[in-house]
Amino acid sequence: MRKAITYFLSVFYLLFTQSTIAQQKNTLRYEIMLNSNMLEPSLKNDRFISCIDISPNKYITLSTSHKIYILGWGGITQFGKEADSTISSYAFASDGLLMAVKDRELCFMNEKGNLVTLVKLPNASMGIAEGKDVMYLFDQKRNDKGYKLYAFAKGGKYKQILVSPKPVISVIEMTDSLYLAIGSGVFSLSPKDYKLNLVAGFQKESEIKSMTNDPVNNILYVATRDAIYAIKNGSLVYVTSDFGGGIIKYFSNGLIIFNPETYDIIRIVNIDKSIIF
Amino acid sequence: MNMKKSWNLRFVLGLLLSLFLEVAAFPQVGLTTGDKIQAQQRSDAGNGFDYGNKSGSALQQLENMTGRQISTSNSNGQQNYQSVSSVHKVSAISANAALQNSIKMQLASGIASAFFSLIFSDNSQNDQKTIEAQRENAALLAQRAEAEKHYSDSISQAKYEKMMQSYKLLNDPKGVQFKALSATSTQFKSLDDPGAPLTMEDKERQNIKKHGINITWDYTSWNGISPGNNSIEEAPLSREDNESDKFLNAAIDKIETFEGGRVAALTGRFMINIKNETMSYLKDASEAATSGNISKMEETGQIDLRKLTSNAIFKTGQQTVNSYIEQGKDFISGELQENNFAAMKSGAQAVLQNFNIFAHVSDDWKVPLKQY
Repeated sequence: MRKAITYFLSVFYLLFTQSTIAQQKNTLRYEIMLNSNMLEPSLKNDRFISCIDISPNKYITLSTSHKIYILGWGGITQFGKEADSTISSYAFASDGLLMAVKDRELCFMNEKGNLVTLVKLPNASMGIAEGKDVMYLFDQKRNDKGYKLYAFAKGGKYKQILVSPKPVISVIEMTDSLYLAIGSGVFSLSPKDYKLNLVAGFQKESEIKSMTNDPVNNILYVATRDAIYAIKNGSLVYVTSDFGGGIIKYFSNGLIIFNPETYDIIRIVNIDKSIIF
Repeated sequence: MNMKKSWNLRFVLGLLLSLFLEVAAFPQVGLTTGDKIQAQQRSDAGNGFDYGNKSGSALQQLENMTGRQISTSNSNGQQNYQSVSSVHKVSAISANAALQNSIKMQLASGIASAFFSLIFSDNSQNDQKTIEAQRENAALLAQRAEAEKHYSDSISQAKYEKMMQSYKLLNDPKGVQFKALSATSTQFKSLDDPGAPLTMEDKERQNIKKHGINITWDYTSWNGISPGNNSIEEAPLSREDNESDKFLNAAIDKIETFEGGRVAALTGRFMINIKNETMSYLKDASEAATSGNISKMEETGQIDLRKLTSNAIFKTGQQTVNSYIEQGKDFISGELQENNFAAMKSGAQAVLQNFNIFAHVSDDWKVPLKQY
């Protein structure tokens, strides 16, 4: 009898615990990864650039103009060796290779932590974004020839995809389209027919700062300077303006919001379950 | 034999009555006890429901039971309360349960005693005086119970306050603090434990990445890095704008005319609804969005009230987080000067090795004509 009661209580406890944990797992919550007073003054000598990514080992990756850092729960540390010229952007390729645009070169980080040149780029300070099979490179700095978007594939193949009258701010692959943030507009481009569509247009003052996507739920997140929005199946939802906009990155089931000026990094977990489209 | 049966009957009746009265009486009068009362009760318990008491009044029985002289004059509640409280002393929270059990016994036995006295006593004794004494008896017990309830409530309040001290409230500025951070080792944790088994969602995410709908490029028309020149070349400047270029130029020009003052989401939502239409609609859309004509905008940009609810949830959480950030700043500036985030000396190489991020990377990305 005692055994039966013990067994029953154990099962009940396990079920109760599991249900509580499951409930917590799906609850909207906020994680504060970093703020300015967590950083040593020496780390504030160089500003972080407006770029954020997640390493294959699930560390937040940040960069100043010459040093790349990884950030986790409990610490931040330099990643690789100091670059000899200015880093403008970086991204992890789908196979885990860290690629960085250093001045006018596309580089990758080798196993010794050095940024090694891969190819020379048409312009300096280009942006870079990850695709499934390619890396996207795009002009962010003003030039007289328009702002161009390139796709760079393995084996040294590349293609100029389009020319924009304004800088290309962010490029995201989602489902079978390429999403571009240009000025205060979000556009989609289908590689099948190269047809371009306007997805969302914000006011002139609300220039887009970054975009990211949730590949499971097919949600595109767009950050302007002041607010964050979510787009799914043609429906746009205002998410928040309380943290400002800034640089965003979706990881697992959370949206990371990075403000390079204030050093604040906040992650909104289970955001996908909280937005009603 | 008859005497024994009679005792058994009385005992069972008393027990049932005690249980019944206990349930009925507790919510009304609470519980009471006291060391002296318990002692008296214990000594009386040896006597049982002594028939000898029949010769005395219920008041006398009560006086015998409590060991106190009870005034039959019109006593006020304050006096009785004081007399009880002088007897009763609660010294520790742990004594509460014992006190409650004790008063249960006292209450039940007192009322049962009076009841049985009424049943088994002669009719001649069932006079007005007895009824009055019983009424006073009940009143006294109720007063004691009230006093006990007061102590019981005090104990409960103390317990509650002690429990609440163990919680950290979200809106309590002293309640939440940031964890101290170590800058002396590379043993900090990733966002999710890389060694942990994948959740169903993670598996789905990886599956989508590998096998889901994705962009597929036709590389046949792509350029290659030319021999001896590892550069990406720009396309000729003379290239004429294609339809996409024209659309992009026109759309960006139109967006540029959107002035501030409107809700960005509304504008965006409005624009979404015309995304697959021709450029002529873009003009109408921009005019509607900038005109301030809400009804016109709502024709295509219906606001869903559920979204407002959703956003309210965010708002609540965000205010809390913002509060945390401010608290953290204050706290860290005062407490964690020597133990905060820091870049480790010689950490760069250690991280490469420890986390094995760059074990061996495929040469696929490398340009074929130049070795690095």
